[in-house]
Amino acid sequence: MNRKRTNTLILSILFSLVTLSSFAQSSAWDDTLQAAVKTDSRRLELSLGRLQTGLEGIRGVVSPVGEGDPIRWAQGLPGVTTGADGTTAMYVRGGGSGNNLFSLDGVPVYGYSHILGLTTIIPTSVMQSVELGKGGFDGSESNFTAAHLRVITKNPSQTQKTSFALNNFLLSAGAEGPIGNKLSYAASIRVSPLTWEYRAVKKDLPSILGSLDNFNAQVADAYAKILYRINDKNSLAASFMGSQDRYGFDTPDASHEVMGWHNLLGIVKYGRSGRWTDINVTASVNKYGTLQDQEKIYREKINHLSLRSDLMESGLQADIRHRIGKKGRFTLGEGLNLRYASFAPGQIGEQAKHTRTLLWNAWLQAEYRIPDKLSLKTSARYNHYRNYDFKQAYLADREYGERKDPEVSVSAKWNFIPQLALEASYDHLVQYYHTLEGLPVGWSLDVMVPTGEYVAPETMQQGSFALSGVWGEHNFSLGGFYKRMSNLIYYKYSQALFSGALGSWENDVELGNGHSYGLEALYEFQKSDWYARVSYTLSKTTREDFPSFYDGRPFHARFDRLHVLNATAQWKGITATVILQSGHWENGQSETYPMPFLEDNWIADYYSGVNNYHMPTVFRLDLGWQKTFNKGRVEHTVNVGVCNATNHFNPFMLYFDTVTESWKEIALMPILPNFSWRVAF
Amino acid sequence: MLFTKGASQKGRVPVKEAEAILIDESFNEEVGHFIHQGNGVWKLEYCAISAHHYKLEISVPGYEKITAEQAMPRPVRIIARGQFFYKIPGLHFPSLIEGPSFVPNSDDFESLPFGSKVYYVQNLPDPVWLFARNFNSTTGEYTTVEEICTNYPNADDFNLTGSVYEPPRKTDIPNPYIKDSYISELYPLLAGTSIHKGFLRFPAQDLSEKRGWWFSISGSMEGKYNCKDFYQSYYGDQGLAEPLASDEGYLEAIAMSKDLDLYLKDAYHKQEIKASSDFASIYLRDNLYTNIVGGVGIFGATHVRKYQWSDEYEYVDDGIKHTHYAGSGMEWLYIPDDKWPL
Repeated sequence: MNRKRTNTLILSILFSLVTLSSFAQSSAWDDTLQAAVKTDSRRLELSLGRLQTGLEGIRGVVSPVGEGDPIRWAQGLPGVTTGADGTTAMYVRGGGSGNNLFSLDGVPVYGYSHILGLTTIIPTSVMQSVELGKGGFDGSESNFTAAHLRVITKNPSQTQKTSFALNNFLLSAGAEGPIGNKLSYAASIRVSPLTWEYRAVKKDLPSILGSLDNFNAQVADAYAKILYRINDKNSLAASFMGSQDRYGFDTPDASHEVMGWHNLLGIVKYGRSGRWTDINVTASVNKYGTLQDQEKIYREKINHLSLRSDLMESGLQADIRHRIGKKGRFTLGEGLNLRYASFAPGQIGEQAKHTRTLLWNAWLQAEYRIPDKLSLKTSARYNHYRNYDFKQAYLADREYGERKDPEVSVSAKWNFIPQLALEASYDHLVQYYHTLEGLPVGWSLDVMVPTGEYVAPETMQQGSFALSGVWGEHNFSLGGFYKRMSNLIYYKYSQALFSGALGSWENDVELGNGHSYGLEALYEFQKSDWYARVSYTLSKTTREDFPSFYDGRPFHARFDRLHVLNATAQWKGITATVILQSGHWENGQSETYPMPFLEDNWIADYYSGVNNYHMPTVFRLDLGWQKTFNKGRVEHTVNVGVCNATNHFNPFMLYFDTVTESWKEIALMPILPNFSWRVAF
Repeated sequence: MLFTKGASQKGRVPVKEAEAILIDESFNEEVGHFIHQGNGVWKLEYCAISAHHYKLEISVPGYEKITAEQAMPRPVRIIARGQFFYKIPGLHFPSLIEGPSFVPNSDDFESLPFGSKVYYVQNLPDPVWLFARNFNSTTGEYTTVEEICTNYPNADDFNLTGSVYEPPRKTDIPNPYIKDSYISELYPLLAGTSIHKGFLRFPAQDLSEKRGWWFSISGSMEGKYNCKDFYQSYYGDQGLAEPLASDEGYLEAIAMSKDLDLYLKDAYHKQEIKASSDFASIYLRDNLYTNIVGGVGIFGATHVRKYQWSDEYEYVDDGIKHTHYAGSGMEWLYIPDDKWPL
């Protein structure tokens, strides 16, 4: 197949702009138990299902936007594969991207990507820690079936701090400090100058930027947190997170298009930390919405297509953990989680179809731990789901639209000698909110729909095991997993951004099943100025039982990558990262045949198989250098880096150009130099 | 029948040698053999029977046997009901016109405001696609109306334009009853309903145990309506009497076999997406829906009925001049409360 190479429209614009980078990798690994974050520890602790890092570990990832983010950190871990190279699309152990949960202080964030999928909406400056859970889940975690990427924000400092940062995609400012003795605050705001940058570059380099006109980006986010320390044991915190991504442009065929998404999140959290008992109560309100507007000439008339999807969720979570015994080795936990949501997917024009759901669950968890020897944990959860606007089908109780499902997680870790440990876990999870997954580029445009008339709850059973060890400066983990997924949802037209088909999405979804199994390996070395990490995944993921696809027979999941290798080495301020991945799967070359359609005839495509063409191997080398220095009271941090230093062409899609009658590959990320400057005082 | 064409092939190759048989599985008998007409066209002279289940078997030398099955759609049964000319508070539809016995006079119907031309549907055993055909007096041909809307609650909404219907109004029309002017409004029931692009699709439904729905249809219609059979056209469920006059506009209801309906929906979506400026459309790489085993394409059937449509016209009834606008629509006469009773 003779293929030509090209870069896409919008993202090529973004990636053509100079970006910044920072590095200095430092990771900390925690086990399956909730524990204090160890951001500066060089003594790593490996675990089978949960990997954790602090702020420096996140910032140390070389990224097109200069600073790393939780998704990019997670993409470098075993068991994780990516969508289009350079974006934030992420797939864990064979699950879909919509099977992952992204949470901020325990509250789900549904539209977490930012700047066309280059980063996330949560600024690193407000993060305390990030944890990726792949198995052995906690009782408090629910409504997902692949992975939980949990972001915990830091508490505001008791000393006044101010910071400013600049890179090509974001201008940011932040401040934190005390308000009296018991009250403290933290605030951050980021605004993207993308529109001005586009106009400047478009003027000088029009041929590079393609044929889009009047590009306009409204991208910003804001975060604020107020903490009231009632006394040594009790605290009350209120936080707010808001973000907007909105992009407008004119296409060569005189169509004006706008797309975007937004989040509004309000959280109030009460915490009590005693000697024997910890209590956390969280109330939250969460609004997530997407929009796709298209105004174009259709049959000599201006046609305005307006697609909107909204999700409004109110939540209440409470959990209590008791430490029992003199040494506190036994911990008993129980909790309640309540979510009331209103979904309005696929609103076209003035139409709005709302579906209201209530999901509550109660859980119990028991943990037993002998430090450095044994760790056992089991949790059971009972879910009660109700769709108030369902009509029929899939729900166990058709008359009332109720669904009652148990979930369970079990995990164990045994250090049979001080240096080596055996681990195992089993999870059975259920997911009631579903994502109609679209382009694998990490844009938060995917529509979310609830379990109801046409969609059954997705379920997952997973077993995993590992051998892990620590020898001086060397840490390693080697394990395997097997996962079975049921009621996976596939929406036929999800790749289209502007299609009225979304108005009747219910009629175009299909349910099927999936399997995934593989081996995961992780090695780390850390000594004085040196740090190195290698993660490798060997896996196979299939989808099957979709009636309209391949007669229900198994086929490759689109991002079923047989080999995924990520290697990072750091020495002082210099970082080098190599990413090597098997290519993903696409439908191959089609044949054509004529078909009648109402009063016309047209030419249809015929593909002999599903995902039967293996795309080329992905290779990327990212380089970075970081320098921190002080001038007076002001701390300066400068990052210089380059993503895809070899300018390797990593296509994420393939298509046949009927004009030139040739195949073309599209990649998103060319060589990208980046630069950033952060000042703090 | 054609062979699929690879990217490197220049022309399409028709299937010349094949044995194609149609089987009526409801009677378990072979209907006949298709005859090759040239250029890949194969033909069988046969009139299919409604609701019967048919199977197509095709043997092409050197290839696996090709089969397809489908059930013939049943006739559309949409009832067109009479029309009213002005709003009279307190009076209800059935009290003015008695319909035939098969037309239900339900409470739903009584609650409809005057000024609405209505249709009634209870059961649709097969999905129905509705088109409005305008008569173009310049070209002398029919064209499909590009914008159409309805308040039928189950109408599929995958082909919305994003616009909503605004009933056309005429103001300052003299009213001899109240010695004042009134406002005439076409299809007040449809105000705010979504405009569909080119057609309406009603999914199959079975409401045997429940009431059906009264609904109206409007859009950018033109062309005259010439009533030849008042009873059938205004009250019947058999559609318009054929042949139509050469200048007659009409509504066409096409019952589709299940698989043909799925194919048309899929084809519509893919065509719309590919014809759009959606840069993600090149990523849409799935096969079209097909019910052919061992091949691609569609084995389907339709049943077509035509229904009343009308052009603007005027008439005088009991001294009152009534004006009807394009689209068989009715006037809605607003009589201020302080002027009522007359």
